Parts: sequence; structure tokens; C-alpha cells
Amino acid sequence: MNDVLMILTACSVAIPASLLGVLLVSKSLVMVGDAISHAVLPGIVVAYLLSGTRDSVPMLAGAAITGFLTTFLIDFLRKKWKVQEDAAIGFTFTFLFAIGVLMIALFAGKNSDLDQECVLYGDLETSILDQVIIGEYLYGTRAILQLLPLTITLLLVIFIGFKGWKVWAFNPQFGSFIGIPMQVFHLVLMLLLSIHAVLSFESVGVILVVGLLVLPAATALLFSKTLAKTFWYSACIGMVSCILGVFLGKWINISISPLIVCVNGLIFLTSVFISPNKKSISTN
Amino acid sequence: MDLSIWIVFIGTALIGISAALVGTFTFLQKKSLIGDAISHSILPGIVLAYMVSGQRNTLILMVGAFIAGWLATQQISWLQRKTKLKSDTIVAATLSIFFALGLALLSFIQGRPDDGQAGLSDFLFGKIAALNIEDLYLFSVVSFLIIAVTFFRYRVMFSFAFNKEFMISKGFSLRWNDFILNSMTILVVAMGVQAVGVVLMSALLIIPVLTARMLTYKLSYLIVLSLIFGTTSSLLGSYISILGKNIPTGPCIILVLSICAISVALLSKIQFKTGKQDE
Repeated sequence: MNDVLMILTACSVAIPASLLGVLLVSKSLVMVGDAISHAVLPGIVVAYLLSGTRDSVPMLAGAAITGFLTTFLIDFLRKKWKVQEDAAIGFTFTFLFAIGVLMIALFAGKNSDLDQECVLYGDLETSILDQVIIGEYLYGTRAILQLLPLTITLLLVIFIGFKGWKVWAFNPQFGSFIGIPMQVFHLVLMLLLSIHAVLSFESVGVILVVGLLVLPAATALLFSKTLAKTFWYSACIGMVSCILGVFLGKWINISISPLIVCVNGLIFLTSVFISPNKKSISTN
Repeated sequence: MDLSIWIVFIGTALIGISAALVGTFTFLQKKSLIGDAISHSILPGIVLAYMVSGQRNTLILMVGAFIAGWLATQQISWLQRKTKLKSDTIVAATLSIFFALGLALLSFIQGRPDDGQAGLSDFLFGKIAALNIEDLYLFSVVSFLIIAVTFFRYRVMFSFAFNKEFMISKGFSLRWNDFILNSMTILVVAMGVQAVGVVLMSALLIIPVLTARMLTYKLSYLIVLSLIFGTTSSLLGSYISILGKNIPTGPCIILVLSICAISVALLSKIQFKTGKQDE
């Protein structure tokens, strides 16, 4: 039973991550995604300190605010201060992350649920203990119930705006030419990304999220030719690595969330190894 | 003052100097995020070196870190040759694979009964107070190496940053240049994780030169200014973290650096505006 719950919790983090990852990889926004998943930390901590609980509503608000703050700050640095993009990203997320870690060290007391290590690793094993039981029926863990609405929203957003996403990823000039507000797509993606980072930080931590974002999507991109197929492949790879990761973690008895990313990485490296060379695929 | 406090200050100063020096060239060659990837990737090297040797000797840990960082840069260039994924995807993929491996190994040794692993998680956020005199000798050798290489290859690295094609046509090897810059980055990162930890080490490479770049366009001034910013902020940050009881050093240094950068940006904006009005 616990194994099933653990796999379900891991999958509920990994599936939206791998879908978001496809969008990030095809627009080469991966480092921005990494930056956001680091930068939600001060938002989480402030929300926690103000509300005193790990309740999800203030945390979501904090996440949304810090997510927007990050995108705004990166844009501001690039346009107003004329900083090159990689340095702008590096500055923004380390700055916000340092604030978050310092706030944890200074203000969160010894007996609170927030400490530096749990923020880094996350802890899948304890997050499944947080179960929602109504009546006699077990409805799932809190993480699953929180991430399920996000996943459904994400699927709806992708399905409804599929053509828009395609234009956004591959030909934004054309999009803004025919009157689609491309900036809205960008902001929606960043909003979903920061909400996902907050909801998943208990189970996988803020740093490992980037692995779940980028690895399935990069693997899927090696094999597929269309965007729709990439979404499917990516979600499937995310799920398979969760299942393998949970069983492997049980077997050798180490922390599961890094192991899931390791399995993902192994799948990625093997598929790079067996995939056809760059030269045989026509490059532009 | 106490001897241990002097050790801490000299160690921080050495880290600040070398990081600012190497950071200038990674920034100019637009490789700042490779520094981030390397700093995350050396974690499995440190943990494995500890597991093999069974002791927390800085030299052994640095060798492990160097090997892991070197493997990570090799993996990045292998993926760049073999796939047509974009470079930010490749960097992020490498970073997350290595970092996850490091965390998995860390949780593996923390599950073991012997409690000798205490302090290994200091490498995540850094703890400058753990430095001792032998570390300081090692740091001086590494910083000397970095300063010497920069001194002798100053012109070559400078030209590679601004006109790569010209340098290649002149017969300089791009791979050799990349190799030297990567090795220097790995060395600095391996040294700096003692103070700031793997997660925030990239900031120590990026932010000083970013701050200096707002004030000047000239390379010699750029290096001098970023050395000043890097060293003073690392000293100030580590001083604050020693004063407070339970404050991790890394975030402290980074916060001082960032505040420095922001105030410099604001000041230079004001100056710029008044300068315009005078014209």
C-alpha cells in the first residue's frame, strides 16, 4: 500500500513536471525554470512565517508572487541594466535563494517543519504520511490532492491552447503579427511553473525539480518529431522513472527523490547513446 | 585576534580573489551558467572521495571534486557533439544528473551506522569556520596557480572572449582554451564550496564581475574592480556569519554581494542621469 502511495505521489509530481519541461525545452527556457524553482524559496518561507502553517493558500500566493518577481527581475536586468542573459539568471536566482536560506536559518525555529535540508532534498518518505482520510476511505496523500488540480489545469491549458503553444515555441514573431498576445503564454507558463515548484518542494525539494523538468523532456525530444508526441513520450518517461526509482530506493534503502532523478538521467544518457547521430538527422 | 579567525579571513580572501578572477573570464566568454553546472556537479565527487578515503581531508575531497567536475564538462561537450539539444537543456540535464547522484550518495552514507559523515552536508551551504591551517596552504597553492595562469594567458583569454574566429584562424586551439578555463573554474569551485557551498558557488563567480561591469567597459579596470568587490564582500559576509551563531556562510556572502551589486547599479544610474543632464 505504501509503495503504491509513494509511486502515485512521485508520479503526481513528475507528470506535470515533464509536461512543463517540454514547453521549457522547446523554447530554451530551462535555466529560467531552474531559476524559478530556486527562487520560490523566499516566497515559501515568508508565507510560512506569516501564516504559521504549511497551509497551501498563502504558500501559493507567495509562490505566484516570487515567480513573477523572478521573471520580472531577469527581464529588468537584461533590458534596463544591459546584463547578458546567463548572468542575469545566475544573479537573480542565487540572490533570492540566499535570502530564503538565510530566513530559514534566522527565523524558523528549531522545532519548525522547515529546515535547510528538507528544502534541498525534499522527503518523499515522510510526505506520504500526510494522508487525507475522510470517513473510512483513504483519498490519497495531501501532495496528490494538491497536485491533481494543477495537473488537470495544465492539461486543459495545453489542450485548449495547443496551437498557441506551438506558435509561441517556434514562431513568436508570426504569433504577435497575427495578434496573439505571446507575453500571456509566457506569464501563464511561469505561473504554472512556480505553483508546481511550491507544491512539489515537500516531496522532491527545490533543486531536484529541475531534473524532473528537463530530463524526461530532453529524452522525449530525442525520439519524437512533433510537439504532441513529445508531450506523450515525456509524461511516460517521467512515470516509468518514478516507478523504477521507488522500487530501487526500497531495494537499496536510500532517499527516493534523488534516485528518481538518477533513473531519469540514466534513461536520458542511454537514449542519447543509442539514438542516431546528430549528422543523420537534418539540421537547419 | 584569534588565530582561527585569521585563518578564516585569509581563506575567504583567497576564495574571493580566485573566484572573481576566473569569474571575469567565464562571464566574458558567456559561460556563467557552466559555472553553475560545475558547482552542482562536484557534489558526487566530494561524497565519493569521502566514502573511499574515509576521512575529511581537504586535498582528497578536492581531487574528487576535480574529477567529478571534469567528468561533467566532458559530458556537456559530449552531449553537444552527439545531440541537437540546445545548450541550456544540456547544461541543466548534466547539472541535475550529477547533483541527484550526489544527494543519493549523501543519503546512502547518512544511513550508515558510523557517524563520521557529520559535516559533509556543510558542503551544501558552506561553513567557513571549519577551515584549518592545512586547508590554507592548499588554498594558497591553488590561488597562486590560478593567478599565474591568468597572468600568462591574459591576452589569449581576452581575445577568445571577443573574437573567437580570429583566434582560431590564428591557430590557437579552442579546445585547449576551453580546457584551461574549465579546469580553472573547477578548481575555484572545489575550493569555494568550503565557504559558500555547492548551491550558491556560481554566484561568487558571477556577481562581482556583474557589478564591476556596470561601472566600466575596460578589461583591466573590470578585473581590478571585480577583485575588490569579490574580496571585500566575501570578507564581510564571512565576518557576519561568524558573529551570528547559526548562520550558514554561503547565503551571507551572496547577500552582501547582491546588496553591493544593487547599490552600485542604483548609484551608477543616478550618476549617469546627472551626467546626461550636464551635456
